[in-house]
Amino acid sequence: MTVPLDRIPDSLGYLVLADDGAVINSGGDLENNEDIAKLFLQMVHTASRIPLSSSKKDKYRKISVVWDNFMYVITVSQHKVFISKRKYIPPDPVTA
Amino acid sequence: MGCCESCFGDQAKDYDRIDGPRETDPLINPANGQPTTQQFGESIPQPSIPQPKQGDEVSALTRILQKTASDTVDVAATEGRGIEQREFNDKAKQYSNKVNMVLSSSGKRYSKQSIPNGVTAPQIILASQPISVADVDLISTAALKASQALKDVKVEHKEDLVVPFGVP
Repeated sequence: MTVPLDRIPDSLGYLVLADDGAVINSGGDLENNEDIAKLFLQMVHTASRIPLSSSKKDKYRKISVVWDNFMYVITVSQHKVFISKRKYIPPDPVTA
Repeated sequence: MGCCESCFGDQAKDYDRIDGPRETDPLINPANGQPTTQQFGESIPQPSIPQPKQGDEVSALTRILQKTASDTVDVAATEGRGIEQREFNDKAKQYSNKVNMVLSSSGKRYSKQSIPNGVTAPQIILASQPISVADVDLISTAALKASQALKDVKVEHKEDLVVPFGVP
């Protein structure tokens, strides 16, 4: 199954990792970036251990790592880690 | 074991014979056009060769060759016949079971860190709306407060941890 990661809106790059951290697919800013892939895998493992509710079946769907003008969106599917680097455009104006 | 002992036993003797005064001899004698036809393990120079020194050299070389061949364990030749995939899997399973048995008795457990099965359509999750600024602020403030709280953790001295017991 191929996921069209390059068609994600405001995409700057993407990475697809196997569950052992091997880069399966990559492109854009993240092309063959194995160093950052390792960091993402550690984050995924750490996040997997955080309980979200009393039910153990509840797992996160999305991890967002937000910077000032870009963000990494991470999700897991079929024992693969999908990472997308996107421009960060806040959905709503700042309400202070 | 016996082989190793014999190998190491006469090692010094062997090298003495090889690295004797012949070290200074020329490797190729231009006067001798005869090809080197010495066979493996032959140590006596052929009587037909006019220069017996070369025969010695060749025999010394063959001796080194023979010794190296007998000392070397050719792993590829002995074990490289190729393990069947099924056999390989069986062995891998067997070994991991053994490792787990040892680890479970020591209180640790070997387990490959696995990631959850996750969502079915990753592209939808990745293409979804980014989180709001309010959420980012909330997390940033919470993380800041947590780190400040951790910094403020201090040990308050109440009483001695080590107390004299039974000392008059």
